[in-house]
Amino acid sequence: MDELRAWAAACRGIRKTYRTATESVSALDDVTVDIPRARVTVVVGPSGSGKSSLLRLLACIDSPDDGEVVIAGQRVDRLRARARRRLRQRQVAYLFQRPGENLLPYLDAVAQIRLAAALRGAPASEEDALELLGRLGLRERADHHPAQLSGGEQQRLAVACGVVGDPALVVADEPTAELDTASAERVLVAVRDLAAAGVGFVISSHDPRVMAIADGFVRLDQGRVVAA
Amino acid sequence: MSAQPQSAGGFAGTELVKRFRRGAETVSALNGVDLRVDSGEFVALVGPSGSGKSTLLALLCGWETADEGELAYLGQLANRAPDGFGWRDLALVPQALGLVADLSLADNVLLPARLSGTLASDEPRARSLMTAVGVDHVADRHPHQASLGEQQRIAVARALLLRPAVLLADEPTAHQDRGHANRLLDAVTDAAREGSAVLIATHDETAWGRADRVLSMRDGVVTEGVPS
Repeated sequence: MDELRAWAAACRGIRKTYRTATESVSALDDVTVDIPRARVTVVVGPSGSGKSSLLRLLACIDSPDDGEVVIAGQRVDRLRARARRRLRQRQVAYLFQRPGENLLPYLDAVAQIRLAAALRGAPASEEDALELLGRLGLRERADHHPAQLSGGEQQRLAVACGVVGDPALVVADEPTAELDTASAERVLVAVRDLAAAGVGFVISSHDPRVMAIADGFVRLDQGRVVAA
Repeated sequence: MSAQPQSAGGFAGTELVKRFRRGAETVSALNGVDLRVDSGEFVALVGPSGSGKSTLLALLCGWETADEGELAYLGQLANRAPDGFGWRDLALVPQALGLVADLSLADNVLLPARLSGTLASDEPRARSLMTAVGVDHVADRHPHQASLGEQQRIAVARALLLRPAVLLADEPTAHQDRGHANRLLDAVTDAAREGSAVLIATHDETAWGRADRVLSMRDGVVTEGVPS
């Protein structure tokens, strides 16, 4: 287990099968991956290859049928729901594809960041929040609500909320899919900079702009990790 | 639940105009809206989809600014900009609800108190509101463990918690059966009787009957009375 503590997250031999009324679908089959801290790991593969299933396990939204999932050095696959939720709240941020879904419509940018920090048990002052907004080029947007921000600005704010309070892992599902090129690039510059500070990013994407900032890749095909 | 809102006051809009660019086209969402809602009034805003209701609510929250016309807040909110309003000044029930996934439903109701540092003193009122709208039995659950109707009732209780001077709600009974819709309307009526200025956008004809006044909206214009 000790070797796993160095990773933001790790999976060992995980299997996940979804059952419908008429069939069983193997979403992940003996998947082993390491997600390092301070790096951007991009999960690639065709539709239906298991990307979203892997992200859901890493985000502690779902549990594997078999195998180990370790987040910030703690084995999570055997935790009860409440303990898993507590660990997720402290150590994992999840970014949805649609920028608006990552934010609360009634809070301004500073309040969004301060709430995210408080929920991680690491309160941030207004100055901390403003400093983080400044790093993301959103300093002038401090008192704006999501409806007043562009999609790209919303997603950068979501990234800020994701990293505040020092979680181990930020999981992002196609975070640039709904953004134009200029907006996507600004989001990715933010991801790149913030990863360098220590958090591990794991991102599923088909977007070449995302692949360009990757430190490493996990390639999935039919639920299995395949060589590059 | 007898205390007055801490900063009683309504709002008045005169000749409000709001236009949006949609590609090469300019769309007029608000075409000279006049409206006034005073402290103690419960007003229902009705109109077909696309008539401008959500734009008007966004304007009243300060998320949008009018291209023409004047919007003034009244009473103790006078001469203040909505950007600086807290939950005691203006509370919103957005259509998207905006519950925090990592908080229990009870903690979601208490979110405004947490943000304003009055958690302990507002807990009894939170419990009483949850009982009033019929969500006390799910207090310890998280949003994903509750029905959409229960989540919506939580969002209404959250908005009422700090006795806001202005309460805005976008289709607050949309996911309710008749019994629960009536309990929500009771809670909203109580808020008005205690001094809040209440404006709810609604398709619910029962709500029209419960309101002190009905405003109809069509093609970006507001008229007094139910739609013909």
